[in-house]
Amino acid sequence: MSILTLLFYAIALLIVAATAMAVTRRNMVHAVLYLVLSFFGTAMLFYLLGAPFLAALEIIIYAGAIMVLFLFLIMMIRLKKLPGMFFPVGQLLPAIFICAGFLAVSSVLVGGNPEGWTPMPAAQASPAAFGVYLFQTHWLAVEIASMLLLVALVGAYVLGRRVRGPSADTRKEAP
Amino acid sequence: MNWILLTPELTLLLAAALFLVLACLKPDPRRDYQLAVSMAALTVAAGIACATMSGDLFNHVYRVDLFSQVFKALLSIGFFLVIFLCDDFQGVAPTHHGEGYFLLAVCTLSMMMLASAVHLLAIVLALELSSYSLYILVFLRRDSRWGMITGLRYFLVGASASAIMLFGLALIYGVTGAVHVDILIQRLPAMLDRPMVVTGLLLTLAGFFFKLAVFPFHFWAPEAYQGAPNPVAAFIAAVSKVAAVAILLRIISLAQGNSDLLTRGLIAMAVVSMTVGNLAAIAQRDFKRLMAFSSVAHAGYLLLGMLCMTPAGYAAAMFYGAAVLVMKYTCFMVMTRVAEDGGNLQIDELAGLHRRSPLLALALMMALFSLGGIPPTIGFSGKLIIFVAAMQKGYLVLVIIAMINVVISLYYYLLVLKAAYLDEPTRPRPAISLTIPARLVAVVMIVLIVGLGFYPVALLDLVQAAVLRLP
Amino acid sequence: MQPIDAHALLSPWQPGMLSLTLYGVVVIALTLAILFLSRWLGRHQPNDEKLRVYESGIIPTGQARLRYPVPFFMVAIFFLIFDVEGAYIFSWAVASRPLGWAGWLQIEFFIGVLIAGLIYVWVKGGLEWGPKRD
Repeated sequence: MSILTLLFYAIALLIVAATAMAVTRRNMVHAVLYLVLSFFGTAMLFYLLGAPFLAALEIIIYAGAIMVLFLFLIMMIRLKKLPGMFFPVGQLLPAIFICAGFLAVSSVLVGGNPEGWTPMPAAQASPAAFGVYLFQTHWLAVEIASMLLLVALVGAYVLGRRVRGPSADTRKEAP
Repeated sequence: MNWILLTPELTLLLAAALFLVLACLKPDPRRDYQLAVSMAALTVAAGIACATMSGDLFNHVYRVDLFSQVFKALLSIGFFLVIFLCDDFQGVAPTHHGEGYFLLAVCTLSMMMLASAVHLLAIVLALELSSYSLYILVFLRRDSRWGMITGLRYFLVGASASAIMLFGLALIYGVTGAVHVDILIQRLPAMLDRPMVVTGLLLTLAGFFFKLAVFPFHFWAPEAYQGAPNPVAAFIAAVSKVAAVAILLRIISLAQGNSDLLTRGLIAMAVVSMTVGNLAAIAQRDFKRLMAFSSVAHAGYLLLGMLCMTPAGYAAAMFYGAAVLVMKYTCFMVMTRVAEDGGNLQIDELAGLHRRSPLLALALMMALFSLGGIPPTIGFSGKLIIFVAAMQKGYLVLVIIAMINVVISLYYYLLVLKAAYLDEPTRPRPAISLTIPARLVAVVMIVLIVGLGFYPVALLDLVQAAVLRLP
Repeated sequence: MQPIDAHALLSPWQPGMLSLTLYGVVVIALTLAILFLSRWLGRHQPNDEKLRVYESGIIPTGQARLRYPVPFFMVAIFFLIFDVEGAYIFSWAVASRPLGWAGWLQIEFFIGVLIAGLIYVWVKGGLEWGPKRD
């Protein structure tokens, strides 16, 4: 067992623990903070596996922008203390369903070939190598992504516009 | 790089850019509509003009061949027809017409890319682009009672389907180490006995089945159809199915017909999809919900063609995809014209249609006969070709189940027809006035339905040549 | 991409990494030291005035759990979208020399679409702050 492997398992443990905390917190803001910790762990994992650029992106986009969005969302929704069960049954059932599905898939995969394992060929890519690969081989995908973001922008605007009307009224009566 | 090969895509890109400019300008429904229709007509011209081109683009990520070009021509025709239907675009607020056209154009563009992409990354991104445009199009519904809730639900189910698909793709990549369709074709057939590969393929297909509304992934369909503005519902029901057929053929053909496990999974889905769709459709009172469940059933017929995994089966599925485009579009065209103020149409509101507009009633009758598989219509020849392809593979039981389903489906199609022809309206309604182009399109659709029923050979030859490009 | 020799100790850690690791360790140690020192050396005499929420010297009114207006959320979404676009531009920027003019054209198209989106949101008033102008 090399130091690399040790670090891998340490970080993986950190991610799992942080995510478990995030899922079980009742205070949404705490949950988001644990999620940020989990994203930092994922970034470290990417770094360890030889993808420093991906690690940077993980922090910039996930831990940065998406978590900001989550915080805004939490502030936007009126926070109400939900009494009783932590999850309503309506949410619990799909979750159980998905877990059961995942369990079935993994048991099929592991049961089908219990001895089987594949060593992951590790490789490291510098940011420059990544950029060259992305723009030379997959520039169609990059351009599609740009249009995807444009559509997201239009969608966010159209949706926000619709929500804006009624909420402006509640804003007046809120304070 | 040979940019001429990309003419249909570039035309659509130009159209999308123009529509975005329109969205920024002061809204003027008349001008917006005229520009949209002319751009759509240009797209059809480009799609048909490039139908025989072939070549590889973007470092072999994008393949232009007869298979993709036939689908692109179909998609551009569907795009034109749907845009044509937007002449009053009542379901969407006038300030958002520009956005509506823009999203329709982007969605068609991404579906064209889906037909041509041969790299999993490009396929996933194109699929996401088309899905996201559709989610927002559903949100555009002016009536907030529908748009918000159904849009959100459609989005949530769709996002989950995407996640499942990505998991499947990750499994496939993990086993084969390949993301390019050409390499997958070499490596996959030898590995098809591994459960991981079959699980990966099935999960991947799940994402595309969501688009086609096959049984376990059909929950979104009735609500999304009901909640979407009428032309958008026509787009989802008719055009997006064509793209789904294209990509499903591309993925299923990867297995090259030698996977028992995969075939069994597909058979189960096809049978349940047909049966559930048809039985649920009987109980529907809303026209769009009925059409949604009929879509689920038709997805089952399409799967029946695909799971043969023979060129004949693929050709049958492709033919039937074109047939679905024509039939579903005609139904939604009639519905959009009849529904007042872009609202939803109940089936009993069709009462007295043959007096209010004989042409629309005739178009509806032809489309419903075709959906129900009564000769001589395109739906009949399409079903016949699928059943023949399935019989060649020896799926006798499957064909019998499908035939029973066709009979069940006739029941509710005839109920709709009864409402349109025999029932008397509770209160007198005015005649529906149609513009001359609208009449022309209705006549063309009737001619297509009947003409391709009598003489399917031309289209059949075309799709048979097209599927030969698949491995 | 260079393959990694999995058996060598800390193989992907290039020399540049050592300084970054040291820097990280120093930052964490310094933060902890300052926190510890201020706690250890400082005196604790809490009273009501000290424990009140700090609002730049202004007495806070109402509670913190008010519902944020939608424009905040929209700006957050726009920020997220442009942040993701930034990620693509970073990946082009670090490889701009080897990519040459072809890469430049590709990123130009990308940025063009981005600017079209910005113009759209701007013209439609998505960036308007405060009461609506009609």
